[in-house]
Amino acid sequence: MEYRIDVNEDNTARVVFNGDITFSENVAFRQLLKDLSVKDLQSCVFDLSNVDMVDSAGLGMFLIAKEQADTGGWKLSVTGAQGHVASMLKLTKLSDLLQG
Amino acid sequence: MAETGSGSGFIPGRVAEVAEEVRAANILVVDDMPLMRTMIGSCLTKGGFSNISYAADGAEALAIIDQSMPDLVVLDLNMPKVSGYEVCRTLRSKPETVDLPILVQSASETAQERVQVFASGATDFVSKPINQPELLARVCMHLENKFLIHSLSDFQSRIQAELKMAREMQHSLLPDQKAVMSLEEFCGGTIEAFYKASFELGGDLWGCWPLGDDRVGLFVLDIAGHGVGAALNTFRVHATMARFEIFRDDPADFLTLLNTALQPAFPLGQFATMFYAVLNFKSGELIYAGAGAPRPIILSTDGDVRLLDSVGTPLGIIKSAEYENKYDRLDEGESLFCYSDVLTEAPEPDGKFLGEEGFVRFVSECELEGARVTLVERLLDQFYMRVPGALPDDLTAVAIHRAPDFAALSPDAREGRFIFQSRREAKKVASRLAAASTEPIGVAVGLMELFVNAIEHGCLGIGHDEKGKLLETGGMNAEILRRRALPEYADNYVCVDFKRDDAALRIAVKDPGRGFKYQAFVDDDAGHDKKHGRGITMAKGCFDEMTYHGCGNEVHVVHKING
Repeated sequence: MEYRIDVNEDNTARVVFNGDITFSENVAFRQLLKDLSVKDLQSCVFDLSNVDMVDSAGLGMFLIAKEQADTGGWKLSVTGAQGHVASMLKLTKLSDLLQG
Repeated sequence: MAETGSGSGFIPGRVAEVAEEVRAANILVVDDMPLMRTMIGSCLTKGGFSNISYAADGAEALAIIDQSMPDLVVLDLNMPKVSGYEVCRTLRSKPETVDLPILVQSASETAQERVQVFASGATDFVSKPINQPELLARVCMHLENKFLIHSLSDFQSRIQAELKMAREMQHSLLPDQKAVMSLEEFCGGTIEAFYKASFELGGDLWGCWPLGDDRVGLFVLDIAGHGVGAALNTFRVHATMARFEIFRDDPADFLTLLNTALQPAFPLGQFATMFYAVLNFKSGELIYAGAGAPRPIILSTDGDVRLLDSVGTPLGIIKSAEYENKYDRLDEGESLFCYSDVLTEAPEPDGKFLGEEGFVRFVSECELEGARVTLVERLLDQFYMRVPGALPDDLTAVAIHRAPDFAALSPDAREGRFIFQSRREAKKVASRLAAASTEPIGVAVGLMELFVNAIEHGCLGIGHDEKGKLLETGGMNAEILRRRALPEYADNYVCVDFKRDDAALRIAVKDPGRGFKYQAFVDDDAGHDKKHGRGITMAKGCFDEMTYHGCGNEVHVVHKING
């Protein structure tokens, strides 16, 4: 998994992911959350268009991000999920929780 | 500030964690010159060592080591009787001293000699005249290495033993074979259940139990992530389930209560996906509720697939989550198949993964390859061929096969013939003939092995090696359809003749193929180690007699009717 953070002038951000988000990406994902925590964000969108695969640990990491957003007072949403990723979000109803 | 000097507890630059062990170490000083022994001894004493023994030559050194193993040897090279080189070689040839640190000290110091010293097994080298601080530093370093490696490997083997025990304890939460068999007897169906923990600890759990009014309950559960945290949580979930035993009749209530109880205890980012169903095995009524588990599959008698709606918030995320009951049916001859996500998500050698759609197709293809009651076993065999190596997560696969309503032969049918081309038709023939036996499941399993062989090998000319490759790549079905359309195979069929009397059911299966060298496979001692002979060995075990005829394209089996 790789990611790129784009922050706009109005303090909205977009994180573009590339590659699988699975258990083994846990360290990289925590680094991302750290990177986000030092920014003064209004909202952040996780762009999953280039992600083919997310496992249950990956979904857990989204939940941690969501918690961080709620605590930090910013909005988190996901976009662009397709195929396996979209079905996983739907199956676990996390798509409702992470709606824009 | 750290103290320095003789007898202090700590030397700067040394590893504090093993300082005590280092200081208590037993050091053997070997030198033929009394003055040298005294000098080295006093250097070590000043450095804080008190457990020092001495030997005046190589032979005495070896005798002392035999008696009481030192932690390190300071060894002179040129000594009477047995030289230092010889001592090194002797110690390295014995398993108990193969890694004993040996610090060699010698006056002559040519490059050639150094090579010889290390080649004979010395750990390190100090030159004479002895530089005392250097000797002390090297002694400490080698002792530290020794103790650190020991404590690391002790730690590692302890952790490994504990992980193994944890895996076994986790395994013990699952229904054992006895429980499964008694439930099979209770509900009249067949339960196939497989569980394999991943190398790391995982968080899969499944279970089944009898309920009143002709019902059984079945759940599968997967705690996100793996490792010790996930594994410990399976115990929490298991214990919590026991608390809500009286609510097992109602899947939605059961999940709602479990979630409410578990949510506060689950750490952030951890959750459990779950599916729980209650099946009435008399009426076929199925009530279930889902919490985001992979969608279970129902296979009809004709092999049609439908997926159950297990959408739901996983347990442990939102305290107020609610779950609803959904209704379906599991009719006679149908199967309910639940599985963990590793089956859809594990990467194949090309990096791709099956996904749900691919997995459903895979299940359908496996379904056609043999009797229904061996579906999961065959599916996993093929899965491991496609996804070799260790899996990234726990694997759970559980199926309930409701016993088919065998369309029995009419009681007065004493003999007859069936002709078929497809595996679907073969299944129907197998279940009708099986119904005339006293062990329908075993006979159906055995006949399907023979029928599938007659179709694929006999009618379509697919070789055993070829089949293995097709199964690995998942191209078996496409190949069967392709060959069926070719003129040389289009009209081939399997012919099955049966005769029955009060004592036995005799069945002959004949195909138009070239047969095979069957002798090697039907001999008792040869069949098992040949991978492609497994089907034959399995079939043989299902009948009282099995014989091949002709070029191997005809097989006769006898099932003795008892009582």
